[in-house]
Amino acid sequence: MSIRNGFNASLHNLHLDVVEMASLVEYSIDETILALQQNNRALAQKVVAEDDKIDKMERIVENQCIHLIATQQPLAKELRRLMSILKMMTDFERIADHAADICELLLELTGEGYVKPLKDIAEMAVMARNMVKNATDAYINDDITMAVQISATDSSVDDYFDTVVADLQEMMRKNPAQIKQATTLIFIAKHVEKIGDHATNLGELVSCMISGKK
Amino acid sequence: MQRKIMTGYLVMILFCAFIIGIFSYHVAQKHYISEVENRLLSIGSIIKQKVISLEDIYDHNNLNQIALDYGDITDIRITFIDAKGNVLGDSMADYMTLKNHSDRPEIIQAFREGQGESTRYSDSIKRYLKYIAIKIRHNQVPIVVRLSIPIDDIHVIRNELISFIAAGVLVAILAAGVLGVQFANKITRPINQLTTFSKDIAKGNFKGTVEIEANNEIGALAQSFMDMKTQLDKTITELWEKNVEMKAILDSMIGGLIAVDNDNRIIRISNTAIEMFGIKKKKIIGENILLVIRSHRFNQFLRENRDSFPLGNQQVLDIQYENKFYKIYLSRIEGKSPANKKIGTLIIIQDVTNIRKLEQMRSEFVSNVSHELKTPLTSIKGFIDTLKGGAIHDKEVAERFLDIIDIEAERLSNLIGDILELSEIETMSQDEHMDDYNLESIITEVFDIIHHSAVKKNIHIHYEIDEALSRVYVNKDKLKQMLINLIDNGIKYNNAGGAVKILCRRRHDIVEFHVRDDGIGIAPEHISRLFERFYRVDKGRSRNQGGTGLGLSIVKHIVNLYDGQIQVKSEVGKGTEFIIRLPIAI
Ligand SMILES: Nc1ncnc2c1ncn2[C@@H]1O[C@H](COP(=O)(O)OP(=O)(O)O)[C@@H](O)[C@H]1O
Ligand SMILES: [Mg+2]
Repeated sequence: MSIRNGFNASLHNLHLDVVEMASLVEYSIDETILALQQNNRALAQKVVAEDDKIDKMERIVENQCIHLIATQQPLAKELRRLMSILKMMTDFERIADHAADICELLLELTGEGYVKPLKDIAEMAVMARNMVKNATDAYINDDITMAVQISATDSSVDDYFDTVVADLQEMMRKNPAQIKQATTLIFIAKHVEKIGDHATNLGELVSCMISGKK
Repeated sequence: MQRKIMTGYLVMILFCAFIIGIFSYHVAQKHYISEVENRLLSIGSIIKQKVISLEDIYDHNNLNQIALDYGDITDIRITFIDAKGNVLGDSMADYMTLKNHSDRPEIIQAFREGQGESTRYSDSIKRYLKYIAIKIRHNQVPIVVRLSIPIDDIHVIRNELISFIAAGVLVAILAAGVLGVQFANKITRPINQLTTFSKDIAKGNFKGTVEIEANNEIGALAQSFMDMKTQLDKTITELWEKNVEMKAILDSMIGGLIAVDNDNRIIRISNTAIEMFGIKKKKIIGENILLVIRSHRFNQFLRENRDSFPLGNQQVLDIQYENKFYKIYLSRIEGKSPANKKIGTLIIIQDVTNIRKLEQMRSEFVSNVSHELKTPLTSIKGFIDTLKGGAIHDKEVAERFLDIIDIEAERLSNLIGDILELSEIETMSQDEHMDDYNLESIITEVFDIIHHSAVKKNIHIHYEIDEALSRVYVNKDKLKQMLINLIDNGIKYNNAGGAVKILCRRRHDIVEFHVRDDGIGIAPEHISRLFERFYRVDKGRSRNQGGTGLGLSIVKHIVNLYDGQIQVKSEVGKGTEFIIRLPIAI
């Protein structure tokens, strides 16, 4: 009984740490969006610098998961949860990487003055951020409907990506001098699109964690 | 419960029946044997009397005859034996052929003690036999009469006995079972009633009652349950009322409030806080705040100050949550115990979005103003430098430059005038110099001022006033300023030969001003921003016309001063109409 209680307490702590990780990642996306909107160099540098913190958090949570699996003989349901968390961690970590990548690209850009306002890309990033946020909410509340809905948003992020790329290509054709900047912007948009993909993954992991179905 | 009672009860009954069975078997057996003995003894003593009354016992036929006679009536085997062990008579066998009986234990005992007893298996008749021997003294000659009866009857009786007892036990069990069910019901029913009752209480339903009339422990229990319920109901109602009061107080606070315990679990949260963080989760109380409000900086701040911050000290953090700016204040909650231990953290959230936006607007305004002032100044300075550099000697060029300087100086003065005007209206909450005026005379004054520029651009202006409308209660200068700015725009953003029309209508105490032109119009996407300071649709055109970008924001402030309304209708290429409603008619 008391062993089981101890296990439940560790599970709860793990749960809190997962949410902690999620909020760290969401925070870094938020800052990335702000950096995009305000063309803020200092903020971009901060996001790049803080990626280490997220990597560290990922390792902590992973170790905790493995420790629990190895020492506590979890039941099938708990095991499924732990395995899902392990996979979710990878997605969260990748999302943070993409945010950091966006900020690095942004640092190459700043000072040049944008060919196209970053508004579209920032809006796309807001969409992707909301997907991550919804995935986390679905995880916290065991909300399978919310988890399932996430993949629907992904297609609008993809559409957004297509229009942004088309606009930028048009611009390159009209003004070849801006090719370098436009390519960088396309890369940034690609990273945003990737964040959306990982959020979709998160949504699927959460729904499969709740329902047990693949 | 009922099951348990029943099984316990049955086990007990079986156990008792078993014990009783064994006892009664033993008692019955003992009783039967002593009965047999008694019978043998009493018949023996009758025979003894008979033998004593005989004249001659050595006439063997006499004894044998007695044995035969009694044996016949009693079904008992009767044998006479003398002290040497010789058989003197027997009721069943020919006594002459019988062996010497001196070694039989009952006979030995009888000669010694007067009476003997033995139970043995007899090989000759293959049965258990009970023997009783009684010594008889006949004229100093001792002989023994032995009576024997087969006691396998006892075994027959035992089986019968066992089946009787078994039947009895069965009946007892059945009866006890029926009684037991009733008994168990009698105990468990009120207990079940009490259980449902207390479950109801646990669910918070204090309406139910238990009706148990029993005059025993269970009745007493039921009574104390009822008492407990009443007491609980009272306490809970009181608590609930206090809670409602507390909640009402918290919810009417302007800022949000959250109290968390030392493990960051939410103890209390006000509605404002729930709204501020857009919390949709239903289960909030007792939940870790991290799971409810997912703001990294907020949670980090909480964690950092978990045990560190000193007594009475407040910690402040500025965060951005979605599109809002919040100021978060933390202070420790202390327990009542003398140790003054921290039992949690109180979080107060203040929405500073408006303040932030104002700050932002102000700083934008300052930078806009300096930019706007710099442009004409730079140009003035540039022309003066050129003049100093020699251009002054070329009369024609010098005059042109001076004209430009004049225009720029005019623009500077316009700008400064507008800024002063704006800041004056902005700081006013109510107009002070209100008076009673004739509306038409105000409008003619406006026309006098505007006339010159209208003529210059060849714009035709005219007005129309409702007959019902003559006097207004207003600050004349402000109303004039408002109309001048609107008509001025109608002239400036018009084509040569165009027209501007002013209509004044009355709707109850509201005066509705329509300023309509047939000029260039405004595209829809600009309309919402027209009233922002320094916003111009076409910067170049506005500048050339001597515009400052402040005209409409002054109009908006004046309208706000009177709690009025502005409406803009416009179509590119067709014209623009501004409709202003002010509650100033008398
Ligand atoms: N009647 C109108 N027709 C067309 N455009 C107008 C009209 N009134 C205002 N505007 C547009 O709104 C902008 C803001 O007006 P205002 O605040 O009066 O500044 P300005 O000093 O430029 O006139 C102008 O620059 C102009 O582009
Ligand atoms: Mg104007």
